[in-house]
Amino acid sequence: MTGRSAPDPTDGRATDGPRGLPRWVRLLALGFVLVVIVLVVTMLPVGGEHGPGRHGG
Amino acid sequence: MMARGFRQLMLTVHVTASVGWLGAIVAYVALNVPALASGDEQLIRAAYLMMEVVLRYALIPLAAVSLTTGIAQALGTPWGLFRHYWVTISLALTAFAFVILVLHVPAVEDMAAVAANPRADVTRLDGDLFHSVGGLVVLLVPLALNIYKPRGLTRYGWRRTQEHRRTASHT
Repeated sequence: MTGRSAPDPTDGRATDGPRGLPRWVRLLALGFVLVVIVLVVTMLPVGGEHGPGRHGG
Repeated sequence: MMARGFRQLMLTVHVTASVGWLGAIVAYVALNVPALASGDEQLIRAAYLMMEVVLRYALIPLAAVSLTTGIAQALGTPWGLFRHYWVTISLALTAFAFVILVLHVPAVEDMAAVAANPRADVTRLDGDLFHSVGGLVVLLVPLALNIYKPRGLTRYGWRRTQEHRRTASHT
């Protein structure tokens, strides 16, 4: 988080400009990619078995 | 744009459904405790049966209300759906969680069917912690985004803001 909230667009003072992706979006995307990698790596030993059939034992 | 009173009503429904959705997930996670750790077979069966009940009558309805009122809130206010990164990411994560939830219904039905069969061995079931804890973690992101509302206009949002300013300066 940046510590600064987006200006409320209802007050007519939205002053943000297009500066590319905000840092918090990049960090969130990085976290998402890391989680996906961890999930893929942890699922590899079980052959990616996942879904309804898995719960049946 | 929505009238102020209606907008506040929608916001109240949205917050209630969203918080309820999180609470229902916590209840679902709690049902996994006896399902995975108890030695009492009756308790294990009851836990799996209740998972289906919580999913059908709490999780899915609350998720549907949260998603639809969230979209209505965004479209009915100047925030828009695709103008601010925090709104767009919240929508994407909430929609993702809702789709996974609906796709997960057959798996939970299978577990409940096994638990309902007195001759079936419930100890071969392996709980449902992965999806429930995963869902909880995913939904904490939109929760934080909705509270902090971090800055960041999308390109579309920037264009719309510029158009709005040009229109306002010409009138």
